[in-house]
Amino acid sequence: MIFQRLSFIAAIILVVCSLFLLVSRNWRQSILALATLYIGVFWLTALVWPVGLAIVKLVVGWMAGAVLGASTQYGSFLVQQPELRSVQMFRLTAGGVVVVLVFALEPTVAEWIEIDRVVLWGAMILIGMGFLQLGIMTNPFNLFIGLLTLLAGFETIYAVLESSVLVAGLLAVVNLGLALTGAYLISLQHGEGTP
Amino acid sequence: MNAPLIWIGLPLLIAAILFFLRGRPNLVWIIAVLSNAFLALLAFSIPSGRPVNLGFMLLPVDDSFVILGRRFILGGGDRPFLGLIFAFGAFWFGGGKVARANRYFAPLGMAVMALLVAALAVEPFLYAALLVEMAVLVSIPLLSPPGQPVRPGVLRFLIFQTLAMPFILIAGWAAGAVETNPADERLLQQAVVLLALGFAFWLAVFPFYNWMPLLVSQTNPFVASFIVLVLNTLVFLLALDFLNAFAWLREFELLYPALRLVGTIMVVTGGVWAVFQQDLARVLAYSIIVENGFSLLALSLDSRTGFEIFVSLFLARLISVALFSLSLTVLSEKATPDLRGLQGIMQRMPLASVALLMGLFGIAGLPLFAVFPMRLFLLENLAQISIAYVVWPSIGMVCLIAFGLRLLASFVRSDEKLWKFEESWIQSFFLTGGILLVLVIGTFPRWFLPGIQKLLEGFSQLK
Repeated sequence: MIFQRLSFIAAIILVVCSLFLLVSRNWRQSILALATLYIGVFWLTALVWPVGLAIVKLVVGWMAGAVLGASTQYGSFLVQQPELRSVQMFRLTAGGVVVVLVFALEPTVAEWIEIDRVVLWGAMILIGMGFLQLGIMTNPFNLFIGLLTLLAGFETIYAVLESSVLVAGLLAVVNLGLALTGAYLISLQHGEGTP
Repeated sequence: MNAPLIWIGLPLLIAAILFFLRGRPNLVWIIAVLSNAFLALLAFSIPSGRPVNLGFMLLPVDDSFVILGRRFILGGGDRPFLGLIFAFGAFWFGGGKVARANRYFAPLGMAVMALLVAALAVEPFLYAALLVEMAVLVSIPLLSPPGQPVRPGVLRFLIFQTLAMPFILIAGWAAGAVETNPADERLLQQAVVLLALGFAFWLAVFPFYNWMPLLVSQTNPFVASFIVLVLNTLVFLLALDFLNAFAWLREFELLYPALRLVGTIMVVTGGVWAVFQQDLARVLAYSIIVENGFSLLALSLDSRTGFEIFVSLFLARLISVALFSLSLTVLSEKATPDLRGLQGIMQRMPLASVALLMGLFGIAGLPLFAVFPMRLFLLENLAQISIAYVVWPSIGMVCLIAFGLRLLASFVRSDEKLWKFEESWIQSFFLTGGILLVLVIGTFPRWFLPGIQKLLEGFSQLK
């Protein structure tokens, strides 16, 4: 019940974290933001799933973040050169445009998928920000953060449509697989792979 | 014993064994080729629904396998596909040694094949999206092996394939909703659009195909084309499965014109982009796009003939692309794989040069080559709908042929008088085998087509 009443907080967490992921160039802060983002995802999923099952999203998200973080910790490639403030402003503005777009599109999508407005809103924010990350980032770390963000948004909507435990389990496997693949590619980027 | 254990469980087990043996490449190569050939042989010889006579006992082989309440079914209709895909695997893993593929090629390649067969077998079908995604993830170390930098093509491949999964999963939910409420026109349109987007991402359909030239040109073309082909073949079969399962999808009136339009655009743009390329790996990628376009055109006929052409194209496509990518990898060992780098190569590596030209002309649809009979039949049928659907795809074909002629001119341009054979015996063996197969399939299509068309037995609703 308390989850339901305060669900807008979850949506705010998602907006703040996903915007932060767009502008951050520090891998530690990005992983922390990703972990916080999954708290929001868990919160919204708990509105439609039993808490015991919804917590899978949180655990898997944190594990994915930990795997990505572990592969990144020896590298400082994310801060190879200081980024211009104008670049960060551009990303923030693009993120703002996505938020506005989601506000505009949400009523149309709500007519099709009958789910809690806050859940839909939060999920669409994640999908939009995920697409934006995939569109403007080039390094593997940010691309995998983008993919995980996008999938988190999709899973939040899909949790309302499909409550099968097996599907939840397989989606968890896919998320972890993505994180492992990301970790592998990031380690190649560092030149750690051996032929 | 049951069929999913034989064609999903066993390849996964072999993949695991090969992974641990990867330090002994010759042994891995032999096991991979023999096990795939064995699995293909089993697919052609084990009857569906009847026990297998082992001489001393009758061994019943069940078509389905239940795990966690979900069923994996590999019935009689799936056997030709299993035979084709594992025979293709034997050829491809055999060629892996020739193409100097990385040591993960056989173990992870077999795991990818097993996961894709599982995707075809699983019920309900929405699990297929998750299994295909797992196969894509397993394929990444093949495309970006240890010791090599990460290429943008690999990342784009992963992104586009991953984007397909959410669309297919939500389309699965929408499909269920349409089944219960078929009169809801809006829901129907949304289900079709979601499904179309999911398949467009999977199959690199226009306009989502820009990752394909990048992927093939930035990685080992032989490995990349293996992944792309095996994935495309499976996804095309999943598309048939969807058409077979949902009457509302088959009867959606805009579906077939849309397939025709997109297929035509793919053939034309693929052919036109190819003719301006210098890098042969990119031409290979555009050839695959052209082939996919023709497959969509065959589907768009919405008739038994169209479906027969659609499945018949599988065999010709697999062998032509295999020959093209294998010969390209062999030539890449001696020269830069572009028009300038391969100038005069015919006199140094005649067999690889001829094989590459035959692969390219085979995909382009030149007479006497593997694809030609099906392509001709397809164009005849398209002509009955509109002559425009013959003219535009023909432009794509002509462009590919024009590039082939450009390539031939480059290959033979040399001042040297002496001819050499720089191919090794094993390269010569695989290249000669491929050339003969392309010629035999093109010259005597009736020997092969009835067998491959048995694939349609599993799709009883497709008229």
